[in-house]
Amino acid sequence: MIEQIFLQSIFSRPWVTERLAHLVPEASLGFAVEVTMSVLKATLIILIIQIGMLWGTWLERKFIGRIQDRLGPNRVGVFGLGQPIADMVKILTKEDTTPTAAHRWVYNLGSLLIVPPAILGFAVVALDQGLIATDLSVGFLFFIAIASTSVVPIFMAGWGSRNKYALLGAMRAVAQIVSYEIPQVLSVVGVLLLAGTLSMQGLAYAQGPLGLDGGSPAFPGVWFIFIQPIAFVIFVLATTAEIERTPFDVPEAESEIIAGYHTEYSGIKFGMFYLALYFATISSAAVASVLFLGGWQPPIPTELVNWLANRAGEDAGELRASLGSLGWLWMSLKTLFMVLIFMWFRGTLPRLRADQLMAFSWKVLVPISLINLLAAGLVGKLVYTRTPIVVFGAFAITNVILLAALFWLIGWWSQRRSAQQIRFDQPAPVAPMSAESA
Amino acid sequence: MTEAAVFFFLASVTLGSAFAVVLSRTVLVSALWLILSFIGVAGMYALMGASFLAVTQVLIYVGAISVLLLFAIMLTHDVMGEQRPMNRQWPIASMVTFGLFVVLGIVMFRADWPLTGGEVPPALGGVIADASGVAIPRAEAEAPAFSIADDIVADDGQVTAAVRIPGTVASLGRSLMTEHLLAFEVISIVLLVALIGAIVIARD
Repeated sequence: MIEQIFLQSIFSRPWVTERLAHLVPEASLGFAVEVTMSVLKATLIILIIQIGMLWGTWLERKFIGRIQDRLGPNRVGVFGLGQPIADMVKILTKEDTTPTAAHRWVYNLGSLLIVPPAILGFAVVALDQGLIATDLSVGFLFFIAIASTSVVPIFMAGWGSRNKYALLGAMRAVAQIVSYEIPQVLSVVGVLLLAGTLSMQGLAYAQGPLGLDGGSPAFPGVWFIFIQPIAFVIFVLATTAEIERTPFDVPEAESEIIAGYHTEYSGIKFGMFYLALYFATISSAAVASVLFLGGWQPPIPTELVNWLANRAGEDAGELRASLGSLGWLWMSLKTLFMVLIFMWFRGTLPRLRADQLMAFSWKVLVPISLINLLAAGLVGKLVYTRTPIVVFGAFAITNVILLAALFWLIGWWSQRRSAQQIRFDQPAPVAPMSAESA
Repeated sequence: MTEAAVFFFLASVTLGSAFAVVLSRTVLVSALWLILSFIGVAGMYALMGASFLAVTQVLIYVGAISVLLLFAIMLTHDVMGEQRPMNRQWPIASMVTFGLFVVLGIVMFRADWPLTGGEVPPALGGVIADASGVAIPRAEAEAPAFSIADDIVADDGQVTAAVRIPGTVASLGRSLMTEHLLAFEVISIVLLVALIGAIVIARD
């Protein structure tokens, strides 16, 4: 695979060292290699995420267009593929306005600082075996921490604009992000518990047939979506709220508060918010696919690979190596799948009301994720270091029981609620009309 | 050399923004400077190899506490206005702050700070298992988790032998669940009480 050779060579220390050895004196070679590698990695990530963002907007418009029985952009280039470039030119040439009453520094910085948190999350995403900018031992926590800092620029934008609607939007955004962070983290704790690591590379290794160094697969060896499906649903919902995509885009609800915290921005400053939205969508999709869809692991069950490897005998290592060489492709496809799920939400679901939004997080997602965490801990302890099939079976039974209990609870609760309320689905009781009144 | 440069950069960011907190005329701008100061402290932790502490600092201080601060400012009546950063109570406030500063300074200079890592607590003795349950030597497990030097790609361009060992997180978890279990439980109960208290107050 040419792509893989390219990516792994620019990410490898000896390759860089070899090329720098002629240019840099011996004493500072180590430092120069570090700096060069950091720059290379950062450039690669920014390129991926930029291109992903530009044609992500195209994909979203096309996809939602199809959902709504339209064609979507189709004028600029083949299939409208040139549309993002036209959009960028338009956004760059628009007049840049600043409200006279705005706090200049805070207003301008707000639109700049919104982008870094969205990009930085990508630093810990495992794109392939060995292809990760920094495999921090606290990888997932880093992603969450960086994502949580995005409330600060939102606040700056809302307050700096000196606009009531902007301020309202900022307050809504912050309340929402702080609330949904809790189910987002709680749902993943079960996954982290089972994998026994916070490192994103470690999480990817834990989910598939490819073990460390071509060795035996790590526990549990199954994609976490199969053993923690409830956590996956909660994580996707909470992440959608975190990055403020429809149906959770209450902070910029145009029917209520114009455009929320970015009401006053125009031109490229507005473009920054748009950029950050897509960056955050892509990096959240990538994180979700590492956490739950096995990351770069091939979509083949561990047991099957083990069986094949046993049959092949001595070629087991070769089989694993050939499976592993397509990691970047699996990862891209899974990330694309997650991005499409986010877009599908946007095309299908209507926006929630602000109070419904908060109630949904605190009264529904948090309790469910706590129960799910408890179950994950208990069952995980029972089946620890067993084979993937045993783990999957045990969790399948647990999840069926949990879901049954959940649906029963929701049914009971909504029945109780509807008993107290006026029923709109039945005709209201009408008093019989007498002959005189007619 | 590089580390010293990074240290002085972080120190100047932390202290400079701390000064700006005090000197700024608008309350919200002060709060924003305070956030920058928190980030500087997180950078210090990262520099010292305490990656978990660094990330937690960002998560809790930047992501939660300063947000509460900003909210509190938002809910006061004069959200946009500039105010004098001083009122009549400034002499008392400065005396209290100075006293606190002196106490902290005395503690800092009197305390016996171990310069090396010191003894590994017995709770961590022996071996630490990695993600796959395979025991790994302690020397590897105790390696700083945040160092720039060792990366995921080994010298031959292949993947390294081990997933990066969650050194700080694993040992932190172990000591919380063994040595400091009582403190851990007490803090949990304190937080629970605070939570219930907040709900009770909010319902009234």
